[in-house]
Amino acid sequence: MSLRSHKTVAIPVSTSVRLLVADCGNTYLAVPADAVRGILKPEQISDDDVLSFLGVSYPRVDLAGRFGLRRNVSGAETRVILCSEGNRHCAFRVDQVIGLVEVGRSSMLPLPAQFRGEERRWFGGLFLFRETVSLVLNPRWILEESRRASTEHQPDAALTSPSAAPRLLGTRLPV
Amino acid sequence: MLRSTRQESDVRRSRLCGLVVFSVGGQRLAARVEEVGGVSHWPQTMTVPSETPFVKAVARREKEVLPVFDFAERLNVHVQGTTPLCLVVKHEDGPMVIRIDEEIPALQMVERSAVQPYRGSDSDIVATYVDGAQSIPIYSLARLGKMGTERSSA
Repeated sequence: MSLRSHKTVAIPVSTSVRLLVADCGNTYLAVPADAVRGILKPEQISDDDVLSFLGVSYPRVDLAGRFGLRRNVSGAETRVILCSEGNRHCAFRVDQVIGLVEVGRSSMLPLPAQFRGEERRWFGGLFLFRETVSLVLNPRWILEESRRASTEHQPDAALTSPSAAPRLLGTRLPV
Repeated sequence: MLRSTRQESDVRRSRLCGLVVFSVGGQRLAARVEEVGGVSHWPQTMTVPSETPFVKAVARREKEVLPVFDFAERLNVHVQGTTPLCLVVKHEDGPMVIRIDEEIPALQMVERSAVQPYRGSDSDIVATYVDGAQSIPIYSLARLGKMGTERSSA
């Protein structure tokens, strides 16, 4: 009887996370890049509460309003970021898209323990960015917010299509 | 048996309480020296959307990110001076910073007998002491912002 051989398989563990950083009311907010489906200029979309893009409905979330941040409303760099996770979608406006950054997991910091409120659900952590820091948005929370916001605006099932491929549009992203 | 000089010094020291006296919005306040981590220039800060009272920003010092406790807002005053200072607090939940007036804080050794227990309604004040004609509140910086907690004497 021969011994069965076992191969040791090394499972690659990602040591970094890719984030899309945006400026919203002079606060840097980062979204995990794998949740981003597109970046649009305001003139490319309607002012409706639910955006339709490539057959997918994205309920809008007023992130700046929710966070009490004062956005630069007339900014030429204003963009709308589309996010999805599973069958949940949302869109939110930012003053400027800064770009994609790769952050080592060891560089991600938790929100200091003195922050004890709802913000612990809003942000998954933070990392040093430029001369200050960037907060990492919890995509599940934003998508949950959009679900709440869209209860009055049920998306048209005919418009929803799983074929909409993830893509970043209309913006050149410096890394 | 004669008492050594060192023993006398220890006894004298045990009767004293080290306090850092600083000001916020022109109000003189004190904290136990053990609860203060240092004083520096006020660093750049960034707003953090937050529902925690008085904790709405972080300050970056080199590679360290410290939460900012808005003590001026807590006292309903405005920090005075064009070059405010940063008081690093050894908080129970980790280091934290508060923005104070530009007047440089002073270290004072106060007789423990001069420190009076505080019986008012401000849960962050643990005691008071009289300096000249002024009664100065001694804040528990280590527990700042933690409501309804036990008080420890200064």
